[in-house]
Amino acid sequence: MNTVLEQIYATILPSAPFVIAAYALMWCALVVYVIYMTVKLKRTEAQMAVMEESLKKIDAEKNNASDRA
Amino acid sequence: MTQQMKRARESAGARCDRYAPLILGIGAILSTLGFILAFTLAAPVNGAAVDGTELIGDQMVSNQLLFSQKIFYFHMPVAITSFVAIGVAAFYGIRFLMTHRACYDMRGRVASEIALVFVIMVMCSGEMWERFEWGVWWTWEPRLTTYFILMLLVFGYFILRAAVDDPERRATYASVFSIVTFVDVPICFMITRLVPSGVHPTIFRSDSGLSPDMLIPLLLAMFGMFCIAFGVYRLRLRCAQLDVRLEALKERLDD
Repeated sequence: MNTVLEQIYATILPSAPFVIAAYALMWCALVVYVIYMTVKLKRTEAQMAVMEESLKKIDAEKNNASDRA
Repeated sequence: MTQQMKRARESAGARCDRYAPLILGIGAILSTLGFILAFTLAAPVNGAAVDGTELIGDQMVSNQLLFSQKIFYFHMPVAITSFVAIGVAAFYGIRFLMTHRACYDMRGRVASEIALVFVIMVMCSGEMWERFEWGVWWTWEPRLTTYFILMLLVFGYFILRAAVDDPERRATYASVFSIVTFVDVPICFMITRLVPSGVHPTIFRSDSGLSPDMLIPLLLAMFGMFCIAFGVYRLRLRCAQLDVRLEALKERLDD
């Protein structure tokens, strides 16, 4: 490679780690947050389903008890 | 009428929740396209002049080619998205102060959370750019300083929320704080025009100097980031709403 081309491309390789790091950090921050949020959402939905089920059972038991009375 | 309006609002919210993963997916596709085009379609920006001219491709090049400028294609869209998220938080802060409805406080909190994520993304990408181009990890340049203050305010919002126990007082303070935080957004946006420092370019102007090959990846990344922020906001809001319902159910079970 001649000296002019060397000068033209002088900053490409030294800057590559910084460009890669910038994109990696950005995407990491976003992906970590999306994963955290999705896991939390799924867990809450599962808890919600369990709670609703237990409430239904309790309500049914109460209704049966009042019918018998 | 009020019942009808409430039902209409709920169904609109449910529709948004249904489409949130789709919007998130569209955002991912658009930003990926923007990323690819930033490295393939967009020509590298010229830096300092070199001691001669060389024919590269079909054009004569007499300057250094700056690869680090590729960070800009996501750094700027992410920064604009953080401004929008802070604006949304301030909007719900105003709505809460007007109505004192807890749902607006929740929306404001979720929007601030999204803003925090995007502020961190801006800081990460900005730091890398700064370290390579300016040779320092930090400098008290006007744009950086105002954005740093904005970041501290967003952190402060969550510290404030954690410090106040009473929900009503917490929501009121947080709403006022989110409005105060938003005051820094136009300052941060306009600072390059008010105090030109020479290092941070002014992008939004009548002649931004961006050629179509640079503008297309930038706009794709920006719309992609908007879609991602909206999709994440709706999913996080749904999670927060479910949390509230779950707490209510737990209380009913305890009774």
